[in-house]
Amino acid sequence: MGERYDAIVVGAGHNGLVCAAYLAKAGRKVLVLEKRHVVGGAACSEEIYPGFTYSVCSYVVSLLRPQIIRDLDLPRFGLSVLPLESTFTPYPDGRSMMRSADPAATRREIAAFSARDADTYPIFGKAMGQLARFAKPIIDEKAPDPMSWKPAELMQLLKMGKRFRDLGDDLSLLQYKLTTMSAVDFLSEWFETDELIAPMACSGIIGTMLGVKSPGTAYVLLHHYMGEIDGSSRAWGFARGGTGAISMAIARSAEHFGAEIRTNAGVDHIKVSGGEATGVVLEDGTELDAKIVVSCAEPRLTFLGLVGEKELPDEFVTQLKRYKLRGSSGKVNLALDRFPDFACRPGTGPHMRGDISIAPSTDYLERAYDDAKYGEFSKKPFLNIVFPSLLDPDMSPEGKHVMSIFVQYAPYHIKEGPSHWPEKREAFGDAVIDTLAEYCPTLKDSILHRQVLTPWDLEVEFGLTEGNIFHGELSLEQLLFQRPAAGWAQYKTPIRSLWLCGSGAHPGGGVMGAPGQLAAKDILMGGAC
Amino acid sequence: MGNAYVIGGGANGIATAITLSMKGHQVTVLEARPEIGGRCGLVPDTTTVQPWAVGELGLTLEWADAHPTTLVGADGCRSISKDDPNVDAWRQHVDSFRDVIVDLTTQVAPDIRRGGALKTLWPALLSGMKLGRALGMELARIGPLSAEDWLDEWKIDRSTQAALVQPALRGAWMGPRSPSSALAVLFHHALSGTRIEGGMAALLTALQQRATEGGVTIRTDSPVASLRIEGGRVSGVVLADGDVLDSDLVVSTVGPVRTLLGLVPPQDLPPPMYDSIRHFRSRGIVAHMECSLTQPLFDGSAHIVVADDTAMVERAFDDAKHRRMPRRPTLEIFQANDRARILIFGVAHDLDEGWSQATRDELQGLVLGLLSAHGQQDAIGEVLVRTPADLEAEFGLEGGHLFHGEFALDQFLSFRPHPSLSGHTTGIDGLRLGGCGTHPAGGLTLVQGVLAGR
Repeated sequence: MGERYDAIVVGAGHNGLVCAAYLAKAGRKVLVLEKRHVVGGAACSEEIYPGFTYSVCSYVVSLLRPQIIRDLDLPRFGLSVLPLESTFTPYPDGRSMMRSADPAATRREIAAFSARDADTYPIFGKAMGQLARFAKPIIDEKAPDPMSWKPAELMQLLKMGKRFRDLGDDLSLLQYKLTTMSAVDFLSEWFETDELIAPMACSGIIGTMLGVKSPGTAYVLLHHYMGEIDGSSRAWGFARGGTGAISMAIARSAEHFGAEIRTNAGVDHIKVSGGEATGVVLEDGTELDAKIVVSCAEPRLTFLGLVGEKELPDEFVTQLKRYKLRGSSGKVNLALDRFPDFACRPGTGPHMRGDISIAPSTDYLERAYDDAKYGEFSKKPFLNIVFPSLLDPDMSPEGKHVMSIFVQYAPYHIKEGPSHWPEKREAFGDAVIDTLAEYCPTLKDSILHRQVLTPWDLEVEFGLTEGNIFHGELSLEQLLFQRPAAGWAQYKTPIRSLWLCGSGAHPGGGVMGAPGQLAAKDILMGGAC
Repeated sequence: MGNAYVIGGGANGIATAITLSMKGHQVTVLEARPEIGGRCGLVPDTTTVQPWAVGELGLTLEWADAHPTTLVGADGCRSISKDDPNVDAWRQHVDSFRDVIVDLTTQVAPDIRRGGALKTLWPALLSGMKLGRALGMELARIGPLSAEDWLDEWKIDRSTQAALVQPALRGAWMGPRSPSSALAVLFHHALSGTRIEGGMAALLTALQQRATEGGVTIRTDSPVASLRIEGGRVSGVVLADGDVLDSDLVVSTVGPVRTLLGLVPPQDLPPPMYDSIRHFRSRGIVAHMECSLTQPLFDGSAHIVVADDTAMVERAFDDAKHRRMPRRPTLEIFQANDRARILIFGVAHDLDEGWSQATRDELQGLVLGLLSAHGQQDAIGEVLVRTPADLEAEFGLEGGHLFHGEFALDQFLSFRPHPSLSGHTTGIDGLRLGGCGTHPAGGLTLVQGVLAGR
């Protein structure tokens, strides 16, 4: 029998750390266990090639909740977010478009393609801003249970209903369309230029095994606009020191409040006795006891991997087994000898200091998806690129650069079977570089080092089941009161004293920290520890 | 009660006329083509026709169990029978939603606008409550799923799945891997089950007879050019030959887009209506082939799906999506009395190279090749292929879409065709919408004929 903690958090992903920090701040004795040698999970920075720091997986700060930044005093612990405010899209014909925070410049850029779309763009932005204001509380509150008669749940539902009604007919219809339509269909109601629709639609497919023309992909467009209304907190950006710096700041804050964090401490299983979690057993056999166990791991891994089927109700096991993970993306990180100019717009100007999308047309994106549908990686993938070294010179030696390339589609389920990914890794990396070389002719000659992460690698290395970066598809039937399973969307689980706090819980993935914070809030409110 | 005109002499048009005549109107149906029935003859599937609507219209028809579907795939020809325990279990699951889906389909769709009539909400709410907690949650879960994922959960093999999804996809712009295609499949199967004895011909005969009894005049060869609107009110119908028919009540069953953007003079269309309807999606995805048969196709079954598995259906959808000639279309065949009517799935209405005699011939060759590959070359006699463009030109189907608009989460129930066109109204006094482009979705149900007429 080891020491007894109030709470043991399994996994030091950013959500696990947020949860631990809140619990520790409330005076609980908390232990965080991390399998890897660094904290952060998929939000980590590592010097893979000497002198070059990669944000290995997650590469932008998306919607990190402002109140978490405040509550945990993250700037004091080293968090500094640099704005990432533009999207640059090059096209194969040599044209390009940059949309940025400067409305006049954006207008000129779009007008080169369509004057009508240039006029519509700010109107669209305004409508989306209004919807984002409606939707924002949803990610800041736990998901209400529509089938519950508890007064608190009913009140929350009524409030949500009232906010929806207050939107008025036009906006509430727009919200409904946003939730149900495909990104391309939705955007086509506003814009006529495919060159504009394609890069905008991409934000709807990141991390999902769906195409821009699949119903339900419009919703994530909204996230883009939620960031903007967080205002000065700069919810969209790039963390100085890479994404790992966010996790480091949260970890330092958690430790400041008294939490203990152990790395190289993989959990073998969660101890369950009489339907109640009592602690964990580490891979080295160490037993640790706690009043509650909070898992930041993905739900299927948590329950089927760490708890075991026999401890769980059959119905819940069925729900977990059909929970869709289906990773669809990979990552390529490059260390570069010199800056690889984009032929259509050379130099390291402002257009290179935001994100860069290789998404020249909606057909291109759909073809990329078609490959994945039938079990192959995209021959011509959608790419989302950031040059961290332009934003934070400390990421690479002077004059040299780091290029972070998010790649889609790389389906976990390739037709040969996922375990064959290692054989395809380099071919996959080549497809990415070849695609990029069409836009950056000098790229190939400037590569010093290349790290290719396939969904298989994400699973093996980071515990992301099936390589899903969001711990589960962000599809309509896996959101809100159904994430990860109907009836179990409020961080509690069928195992007493076992809680969820990762991206597999409401409101889902991205470096938001919201699941960790909301779980901690519920744990404390219920007096669970 | 004055003169009322129904534009379009399809099954729904006649049904609408019957309903109006029962309310005491003097009704005339205006049909552009030489005969009534619209495109009904092309898709002789009566399984989605709702017995409730048939009862309301006072039609005398005999019902029978729907014909079993035969699947022709890579591993030959087999009947999708109830013997497959997985299919059977799934069908029972579908049955548990049937009452509620039929309810929702046969009531006026709730007016969900802010100032909407509350009384239209109650029936839907009450129906929903019939489901109970578990099924309600399940419906919320199934709705956004793809058909393939849903049927996988029931452990139905993917070739059998093809036979189950194909009939539902003719009305949508989706593949079996598109999210929310599960809902299309659920709706289709919950609404079908029985067929009309004698098929579409019997239905049309019964409709025509009932219409005649009710004093309805049916004018064929009478294409409508436009509507005459004065001060926000319908005042008449202008025929293509210049004749003007005075009326203060017109129900158009030729599709919401075609009605509001084609028949209503642009200056008379209220701007909000223009915004409501211009984005309504009706991208046709099937072509049609009609042929005489020298011997029965395959096992002679009345309903045949030709597809290897859902992946083949999905690839056919991909071809339509990319506006290219399908490489291997999937087929849904209806055969009776030495004639076959074949729906060719995966055919873009907006083919990149455009529809012409040459592309039509190419498509015909593809289908005949596919049938030959299955050993059916000797069965086919005379052939007539209609591309989505032909369907649009000949039958006035917007985008060549068989049901005047796609089935989609944002285009069904109260959203069909748009919340502001709720209850079959148009914002123009005296002009109402009927036909498949209005609530409910799900193919030919005849429900519109009852609801639009009221």
